[in-house]
Amino acid sequence: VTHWIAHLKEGDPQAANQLWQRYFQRLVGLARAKLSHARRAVADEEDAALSAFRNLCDGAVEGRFARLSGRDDLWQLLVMITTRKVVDLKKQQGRLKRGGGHVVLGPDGAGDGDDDCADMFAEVAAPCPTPDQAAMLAEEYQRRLDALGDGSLRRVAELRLEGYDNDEIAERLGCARRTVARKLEGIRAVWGGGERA
Amino acid sequence: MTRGSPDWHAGTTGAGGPPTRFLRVDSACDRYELAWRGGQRPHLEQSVKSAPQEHRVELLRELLVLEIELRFGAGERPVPGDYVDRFAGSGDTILGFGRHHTELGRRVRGTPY
Repeated sequence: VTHWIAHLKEGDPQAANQLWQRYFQRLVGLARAKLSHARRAVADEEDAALSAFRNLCDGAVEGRFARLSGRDDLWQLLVMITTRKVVDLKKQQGRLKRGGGHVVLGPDGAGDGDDDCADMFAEVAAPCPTPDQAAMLAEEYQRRLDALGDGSLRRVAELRLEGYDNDEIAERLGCARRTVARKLEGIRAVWGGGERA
Repeated sequence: MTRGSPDWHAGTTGAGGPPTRFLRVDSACDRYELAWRGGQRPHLEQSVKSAPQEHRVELLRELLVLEIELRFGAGERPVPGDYVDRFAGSGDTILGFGRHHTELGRRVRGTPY
């Protein structure tokens, strides 16, 4: 793992693939366990795990994880990122519920923040998708992003999947909130159109 | 499709990639915002007129809401009267303006919606 981390920081896709094979299922299991009491109609654990893994790869290449050197560091980092993604997803689902969406939450409601951290390691053993399912998911994730092209739609989709809300995306991209909302409409049109086809 | 949003697939064929209708409106809005943030005051009506006829309704609606947000962001306080006379024939758009104006005005004052 230490060897792969060093190569990941150099942008080696093979290292990313090795780490993906080793950790993705565990991350999905962690995200599922964290979401299990909040989720009733939306399956987002894969999004959280994918987003966390993407953050890891981007951050490693950009040199944001200077202290990352071994497997313990890596796992702690992945758990932190995934937990953050889950908290963000819960917040999003809470907003959807308040906004009349289809998501129905349990009594714990939106994100419960750091309280979840105490027992997170015990939850890693939660049931995981099979490697085939994980591979199909990864392909679908990539296919959907590719359908958006390389421009602003893709960037907005990536940020959304990373758990940022419209205001945060607008701030990061330096654009109007309406611009973010419009591009999300376009993303829905692309992805929804693909499902109809 | 979200409530009140246009059908971006209308009049288009084929699958994969963003619909042409959306791309045209989106790129026009991006140009408008870029010009605004570059210190210009692009003319809304002129931007709409330069678009193909079949995209003008969606473009007007988008540019109107975008401009209102940009004006609020610049510290202005636009009111419906700024636009009613200019777009007297666009009743639906003006109604939309009222909704967004209220929404954005609340946000500027820090009240969540």
